[in-house]
Amino acid sequence: MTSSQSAAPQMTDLDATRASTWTDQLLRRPASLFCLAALALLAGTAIFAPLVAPYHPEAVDTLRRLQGPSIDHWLGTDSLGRDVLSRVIYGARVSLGAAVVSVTLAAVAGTSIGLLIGYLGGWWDSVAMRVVDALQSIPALVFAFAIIALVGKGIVPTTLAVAVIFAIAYIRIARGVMLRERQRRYVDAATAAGLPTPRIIFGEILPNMVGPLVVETAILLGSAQLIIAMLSFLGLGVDADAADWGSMLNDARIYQGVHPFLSIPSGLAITFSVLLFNVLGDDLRDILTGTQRPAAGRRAPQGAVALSAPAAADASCGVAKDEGSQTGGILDVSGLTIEFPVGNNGARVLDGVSFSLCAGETFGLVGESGSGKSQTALAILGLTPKPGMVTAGSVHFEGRNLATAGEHDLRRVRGKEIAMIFQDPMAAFSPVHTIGDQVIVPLQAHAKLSRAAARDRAADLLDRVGVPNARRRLDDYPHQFSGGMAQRAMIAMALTCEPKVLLADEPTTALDVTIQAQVLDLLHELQQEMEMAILLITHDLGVVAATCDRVGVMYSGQIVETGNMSDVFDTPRHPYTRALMEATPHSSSAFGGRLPTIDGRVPPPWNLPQGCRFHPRCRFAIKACTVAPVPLMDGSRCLRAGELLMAEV
Amino acid sequence: MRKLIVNRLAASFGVLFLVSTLLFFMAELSPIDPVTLSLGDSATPEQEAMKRAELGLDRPALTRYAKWLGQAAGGDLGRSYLHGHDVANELMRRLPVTLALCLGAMAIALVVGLTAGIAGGLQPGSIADRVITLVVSLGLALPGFWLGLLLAMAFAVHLRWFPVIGYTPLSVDPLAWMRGLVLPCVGLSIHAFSVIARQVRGAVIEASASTYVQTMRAAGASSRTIAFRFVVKNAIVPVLSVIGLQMAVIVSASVVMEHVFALPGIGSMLLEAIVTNDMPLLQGGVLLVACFVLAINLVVDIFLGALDPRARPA
Repeated sequence: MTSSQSAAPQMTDLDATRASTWTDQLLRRPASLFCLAALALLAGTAIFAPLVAPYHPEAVDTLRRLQGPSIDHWLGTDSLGRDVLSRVIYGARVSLGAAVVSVTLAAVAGTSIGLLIGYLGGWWDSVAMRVVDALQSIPALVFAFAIIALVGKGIVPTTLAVAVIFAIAYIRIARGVMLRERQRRYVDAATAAGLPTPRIIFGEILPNMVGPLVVETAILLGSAQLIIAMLSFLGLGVDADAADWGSMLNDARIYQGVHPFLSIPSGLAITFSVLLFNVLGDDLRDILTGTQRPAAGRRAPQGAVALSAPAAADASCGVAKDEGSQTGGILDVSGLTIEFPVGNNGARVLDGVSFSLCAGETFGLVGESGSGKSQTALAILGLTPKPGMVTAGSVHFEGRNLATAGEHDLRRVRGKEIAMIFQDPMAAFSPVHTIGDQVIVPLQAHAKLSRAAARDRAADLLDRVGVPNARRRLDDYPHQFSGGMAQRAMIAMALTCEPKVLLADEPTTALDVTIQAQVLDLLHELQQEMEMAILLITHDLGVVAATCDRVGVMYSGQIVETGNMSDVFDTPRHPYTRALMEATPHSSSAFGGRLPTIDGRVPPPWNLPQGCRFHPRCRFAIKACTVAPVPLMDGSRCLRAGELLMAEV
Repeated sequence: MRKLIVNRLAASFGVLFLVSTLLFFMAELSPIDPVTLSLGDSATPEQEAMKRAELGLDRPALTRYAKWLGQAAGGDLGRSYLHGHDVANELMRRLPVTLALCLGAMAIALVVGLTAGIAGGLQPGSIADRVITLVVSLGLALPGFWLGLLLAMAFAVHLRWFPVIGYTPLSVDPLAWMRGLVLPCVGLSIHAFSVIARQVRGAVIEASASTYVQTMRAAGASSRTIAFRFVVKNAIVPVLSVIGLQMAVIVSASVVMEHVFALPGIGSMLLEAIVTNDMPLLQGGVLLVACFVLAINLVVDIFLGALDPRARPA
């Protein structure tokens, strides 16, 4: 009965594991389980209607017309005295049966056509897709009218009409998957191995579209019932005397003034069975699209990792800066810890991060993706994405603790005192608003300037950051900007209110190498001009070497090494720092390319190793490293920091 | 913008030509002979030949196609086989009913659907969102025509606030006109409302999670500014085509709602034409519906061009 069962035999061994996981997941959801059970019950009732129904659906009893519910007739009788309950039960045969037949026809025909045009591609594909587009612009009901007008009334034309309409949906899905899959390497491999084309299509490619097809089938089974019922209601579908939910509603329509109850049983029957298919389809879609999400119950308990000492070595600027500058940090982050609820335990994405930013300096945060750099910057502004929460630590800025500040206070800091720029300037601007309308947002939020005045200021700033024809380009949209120009506009936006601190999250990563240097130079110039502090987040040691005064190396949510840029670079005191540097082609070249990866990956925050978090990837690891968490001591979170120094080549 | 409108208009005329061609040849393919249809079985062969000549059916199909197309372009859609009425006149007589019904339902579906979708999407998981999601799930499963019957039962039969069936022309009694349309419009709007609310909710949630929203938050913009100035516009762009399709669905589903409330519109005429195989009436009706749908698509394209700079022709 259900679509998932009918699809299961088509799967290959390769997909069997994945398939079993989504069917398992489906069976674990109470709502889906209920729907499946109810549909099975419905199907059983339809199949065994003669055994279940108390009367024959066409047994006329003219003496008992249009009666309400009674002991003899639980749901009353219709205009000819026929038992409504029996007709609802028999109606399931027609209504469900027609829906299943039409959707099956549509699935088989549509999938085949879609696979074929996707496989042939080129001219075939473009012509077929034009036709599909044209057909899809015609509302389904009008389409059905046309087919019925041509072929005649009745259940068969209705079913065919619905099948043709829905085949279009399957064509789209099958073609889309086909186009995507045929570029994959395994298809090449199968072709090279001499597998015949049909084997490749049905054996290798088809299993990849089972998921989307199953979802579509569930939803379409609901829609098919609605359309068939509608056509029967209009007297175009099933024969008016036949027991079918749609034509029963039409009977109810005629007698609604005399016996209003008559529409309730069949109306409820349609609504309920469509609802079952819809809920099932939604659940399937959730399961199939949300597979990457970490499911509850699979994680190692996280509570074993103790909170590291929040008071870290590098809390004041004096330590790391040269002797002349004695100012305290303008921004002091200490013991910052962020947790996301995963399963029963929190996943700690930041764990006791501490550093200070002094006025006018550039502090670099380095590390691979997933090390917590961006989370640190977002947390400073109170922008930790939900459901993450700051669970410990503080962010002190000019005497206020931003970590505990309310949204209202935070808003007065954001964009005015502390501004932020993001990695991908194209994604960081709304595509459907002009650059001008977006650059003035901080000014409108904080300076209460008029739009015209704000635009003047924005034009000046765009000019200052090197956007040619600045005033004219205010009315351009982001897609009309190059990446480098968009990042300049982003910088202009961040600087409109002359912030004291700029958080720059990978500001050059998405840009061409030549543009990277220009943008870094620009940031440096503006920093001098406005005397602002910059927190520069990057994975590129070259960028750090060229721009930063001090640096913090992050790994797995912790700062593992921190100190003056030159000290850290000349004598790294954590194996991770050293690995990062060795992985850089020429650490002396200022604007180098990307880092090649170090073996292994940053562990996910819900599955951290015992002891030092880097030990599984560390070539210096000893037994002691695996026992207890390592605290940050004298700027390094390594038990063997001293030995490493001596072993320096 | 003008370029976009001109382009789309030209494309619309192309589709209209395609649809009319299909309609003509559909009638050709139909197994029903219009001569037998209008004369009945008892006519003599001479009578049949005369009628055939009168209807122009003795000439080759292509000649008749060219003539039909020319006349249709000039607004002459022929005469009904059954009643001999002028089809164009009949359509014009019935158009106000369907137009009022569809526009009313569209207005409800748009206003309520957008409001519910935005409200739910801005605060996913809130009580309001849960209620909206529940209503939407029901609305997607509920057949609109049954809802029409239920509404009629509750508000017309029991409470007597609205007439049960029938239509009063605007020119006769504006208040009665409006009262007669309330229930059909609500019943017709429910499915489109549900689809729009659902899609908009999803799009709002997706837009809220995008990087530019983070940019705006980091710039100190209030959540109200972000929601209504940036998120809503970004969320509506991807669902515009769905909204357009739902408006077209309203137009086609008006047939059913006219049947429920016995409204003398295009829909009840189409139904009659299908049941009686009255091809000229059917052709004219479908052509008019096609024009309506194309007009909706044009409006959608104009909105898309206005909202999304990337959709404008360079």
